[in-house]
Amino acid sequence: MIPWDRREPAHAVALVRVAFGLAIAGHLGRMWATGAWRWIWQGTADGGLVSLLHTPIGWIGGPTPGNVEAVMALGIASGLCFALGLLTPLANLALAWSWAALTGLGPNAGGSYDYLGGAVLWVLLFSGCGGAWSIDAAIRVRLGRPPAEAYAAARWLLCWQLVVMYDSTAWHKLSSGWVPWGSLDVLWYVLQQPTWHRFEMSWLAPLYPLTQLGTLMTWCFEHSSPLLVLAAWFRHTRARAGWLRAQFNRVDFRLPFLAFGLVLHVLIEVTLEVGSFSLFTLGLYAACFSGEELRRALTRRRPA
Amino acid sequence: MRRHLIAVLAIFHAAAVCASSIPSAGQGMSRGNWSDPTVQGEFESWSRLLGVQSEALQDWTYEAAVAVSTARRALLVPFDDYLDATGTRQGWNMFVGAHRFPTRAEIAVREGYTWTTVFRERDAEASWQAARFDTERMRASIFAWGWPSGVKHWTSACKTFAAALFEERSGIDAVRCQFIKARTPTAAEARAGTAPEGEAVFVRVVTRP
Repeated sequence: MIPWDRREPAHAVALVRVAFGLAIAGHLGRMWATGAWRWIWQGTADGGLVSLLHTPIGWIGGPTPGNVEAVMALGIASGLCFALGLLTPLANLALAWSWAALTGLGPNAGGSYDYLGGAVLWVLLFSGCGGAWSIDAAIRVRLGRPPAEAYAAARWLLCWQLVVMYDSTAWHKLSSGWVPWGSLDVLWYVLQQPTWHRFEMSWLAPLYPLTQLGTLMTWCFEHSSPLLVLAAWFRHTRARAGWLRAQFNRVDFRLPFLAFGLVLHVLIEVTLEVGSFSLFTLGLYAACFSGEELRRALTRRRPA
Repeated sequence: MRRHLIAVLAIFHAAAVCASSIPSAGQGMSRGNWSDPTVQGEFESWSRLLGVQSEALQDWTYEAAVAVSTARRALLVPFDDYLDATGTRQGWNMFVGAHRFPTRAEIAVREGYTWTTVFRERDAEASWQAARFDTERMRASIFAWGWPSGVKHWTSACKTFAAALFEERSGIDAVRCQFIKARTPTAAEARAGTAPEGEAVFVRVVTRP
């Protein structure tokens, strides 16, 4: 029986909260600072590049310059409050709304991080993610109340989201350059593409076989992602019987899987510019561990 | 009761997310995009791997994509309202293939008879509004506009670029926006220091009103 209403320490979802709050505030801050929003989130009549799509910003009169600036300000402020855990549910709601209102405006002007942001903020809204590492939690302690716990079900949904994302993107990779029986040259071509690379990378040519190995390993990594949620579940229920569960629990599969993912995303960040995607994804890694596990790990490392 | 309610909501959400993440062809359904040499190269690779004719494979792929899209739409019907209302729709078509013929955006201004490139994607020498162009959202837009299905947006964007440049620089009388489409060198070609020639595509010229 799955304990749907089980509560746990909020540390795991709190880490996800901090990562998404900071990443979104940073992203919107960059859009503001560069003025790119004037091209992307404005209609052609106001100096934008293309006709815009409908989003919840229509509720407040549409993407006029004043409205877009106000929603960006709301997004940045609520992102910071969310990361700090100040009025967490309200900040979560404002951030989710701002994200939805802005990111869907420009046709083609987004990426998969838009979907990830929306999906994760929605689940966090019901998670109790303000229960740890937050100003809200500090206030509770000062008032002499016990720390608020988080819903374990929400954390499982975030872990599920991570697996769905990796697995779905793997199934999108049907190019002959991705599959193991193909040329395995996708990584080489991606790294040469001016639109995405951070700097010119033709110097990689002598290391071409390594880019092929990287292509193969990325494909295998993404396709193996369903094992992550299975491993997390087996870990959670390790007291139960079963040969497969026992095999999975001989080593904690989550650690090598997420370590590989960490290296992959760091390399992506170093070589490519793909927006907030890597930060979002790495933030979501925290959801693969229970609040108890994270709290135990942090307590163990705390000096006496 | 509370436990059951949470279970129903969680299962519904997990199912909605799962259904929404089923791969969709998206802009790949635009057969105009299939004329691109990158896409044609992809079909040729697969037809060699499978031992079938490229044309037959393309027809079969299109029919399969239509069937999958139809099934996907039907599967999503119970979840559509939820996904839209909560902003949890999924889209994970990231780096789906090797773009062997990528485009590089360029903007040039004409003063008298002389064209000067003021912006070239990721070029420090031609860096008009580079801070804006370098944001991930602008780069995603420009990537999409370099495909046949994105041309109308590119045309629209060029008018805005031109208006801004005319306002900034009184001496110019025309603005040209174009993509340079070139085959990416293979690793062997890069080692040899050779680079295939590119050609200008989707050229748009806006003259001062």
